[in-house]
Amino acid sequence: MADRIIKVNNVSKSFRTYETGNGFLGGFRKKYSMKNAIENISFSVSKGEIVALIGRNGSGKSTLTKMLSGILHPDKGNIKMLGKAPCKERIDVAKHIGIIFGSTHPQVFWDLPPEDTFKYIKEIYNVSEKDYNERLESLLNMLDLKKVYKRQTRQLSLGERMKCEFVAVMLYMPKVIIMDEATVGVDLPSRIAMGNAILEMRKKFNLTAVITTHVVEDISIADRLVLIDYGKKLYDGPVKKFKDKFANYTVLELEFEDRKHIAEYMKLGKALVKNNNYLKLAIKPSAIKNPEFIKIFKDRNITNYRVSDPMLSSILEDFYKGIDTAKTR
Amino acid sequence: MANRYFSVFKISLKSGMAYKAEIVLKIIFSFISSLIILFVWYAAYHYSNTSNINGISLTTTVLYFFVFASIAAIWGGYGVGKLINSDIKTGSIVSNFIRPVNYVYALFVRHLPQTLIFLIFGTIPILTIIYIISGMHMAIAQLIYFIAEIAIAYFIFNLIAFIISIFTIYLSDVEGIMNAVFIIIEILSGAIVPIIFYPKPIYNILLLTPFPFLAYIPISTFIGILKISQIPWILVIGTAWVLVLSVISRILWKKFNRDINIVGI
Repeated sequence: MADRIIKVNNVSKSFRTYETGNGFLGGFRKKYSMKNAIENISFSVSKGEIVALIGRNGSGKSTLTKMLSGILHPDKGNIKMLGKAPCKERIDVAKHIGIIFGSTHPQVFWDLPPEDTFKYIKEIYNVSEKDYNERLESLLNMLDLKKVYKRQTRQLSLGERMKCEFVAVMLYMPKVIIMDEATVGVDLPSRIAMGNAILEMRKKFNLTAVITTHVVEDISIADRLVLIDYGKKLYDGPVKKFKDKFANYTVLELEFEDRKHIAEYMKLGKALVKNNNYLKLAIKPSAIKNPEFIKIFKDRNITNYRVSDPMLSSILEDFYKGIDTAKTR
Repeated sequence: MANRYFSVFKISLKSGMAYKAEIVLKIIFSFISSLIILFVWYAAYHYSNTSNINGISLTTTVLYFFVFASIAAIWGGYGVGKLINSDIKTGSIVSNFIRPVNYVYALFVRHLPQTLIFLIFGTIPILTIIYIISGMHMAIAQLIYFIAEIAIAYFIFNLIAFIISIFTIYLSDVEGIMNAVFIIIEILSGAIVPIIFYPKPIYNILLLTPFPFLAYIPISTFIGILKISQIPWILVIGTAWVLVLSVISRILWKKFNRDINIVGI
């Protein structure tokens, strides 16, 4: 059995929240209630595994990552990170894990250039001069930061700051990296470079990663998906299995010479997009036996066609809609 | 391990020095605002037609408030209290919690550069000028006791600020409470009224509390109101208060820190 580096056992966490009334006097009327941020969640992560922790806003992802890093204490259950309880042995655990908390909790010092933060990280985590120089050079090139890392952090764009956060963590090569919406504001080439850096580190040092994101492309490097909603775990398994389980349709795209022929193919499936000479349908696998489907290959009015798997974003959208529909029933 | 805290110290010092003009203005305005109380006392002496109050002359009172103004900047901004209040309120405690250092020790180390900047660029030059202009004579023992008292005062002030500020965990913001508490502390410490002006029984009781260490005791040691023979005993009381406040801080932090609630930020 693979070495389970992170173990989350029946963890729950709730916190007190309040709502205020309307108007000036409303501020004095606070209605307190308890919100269950995490409800009885269990999962584990093996050494070298990349897990995407996904869910909608307010689903409890950040609360869970804060518990994984020992910042918050679980109300119930227990968490083991590298064999230790993060909330009780936080300092020991912190030596071996790297955390990026999006733009909300920056670790790159605001009033100083990122270079000062990098040197601080080098000292705090005892990175040798040789390793520091090599890693810094490589990361700065990879993320196109050479021109900006000596400027005051407050003068950098959000994306540049996020890339510096990533460099700060990668400099000391942690055993586990937790990224909580770490690609906010980051441009596409740099997002790809960040993903590649994680894959490279997994190959070389068996890095384990937990990635929380709303950017579906970031999930592409994950081996496994843990999906939570309203604090409850709804899915835990490989990304491919999730697609197979929740996307029982194929996408068919057709381009027509004349739009009047579009109607003939509408009965093949559910129209996803229909505009001008273009039709995008969600079709059941059995639809390929339909004579209308076979007609596509002979129809001279069809100038182009494409059959593909649905995108993960579409599957997730349908999945969330399904949850909401079930709730309203 | 100690190296890590030295790194925290260095980066905090560098951050603190990022805006030099702000530091200079803070020192100047802290000095000026602390001197305002001096005019009130000047008026009190002048209109009561008296040359001394409880054996303290106007010249000594003027000297007292000049020395107070030179050390007041060290206590500005509620010390570590302001840091922890902001860390919890804004959620920036997360950025400190992810480092392999003890948060509380690092908190004091983060605040230390600010105090040292004020000491080096404010307190020491101003006290030297006061010493030269006033023509006072100070024994070496007096100077050593003064430095020891400032060190004790630093810990007493910051531990009190720490104890109040960790209630942010439950109250979201304690700046108002800190304001109220520190106004009371100013009255009890001799920052507004030198406590020797109070009736003798109150004066004697106050000497047993931690508050006079923040103003009356170091100032009186510097200008010679306190007898040198009294000071060792006072230092024992001060050290005992540092220990008591450290124990209270430790117990409360251990009890409270698991209730830190940084969700949604």
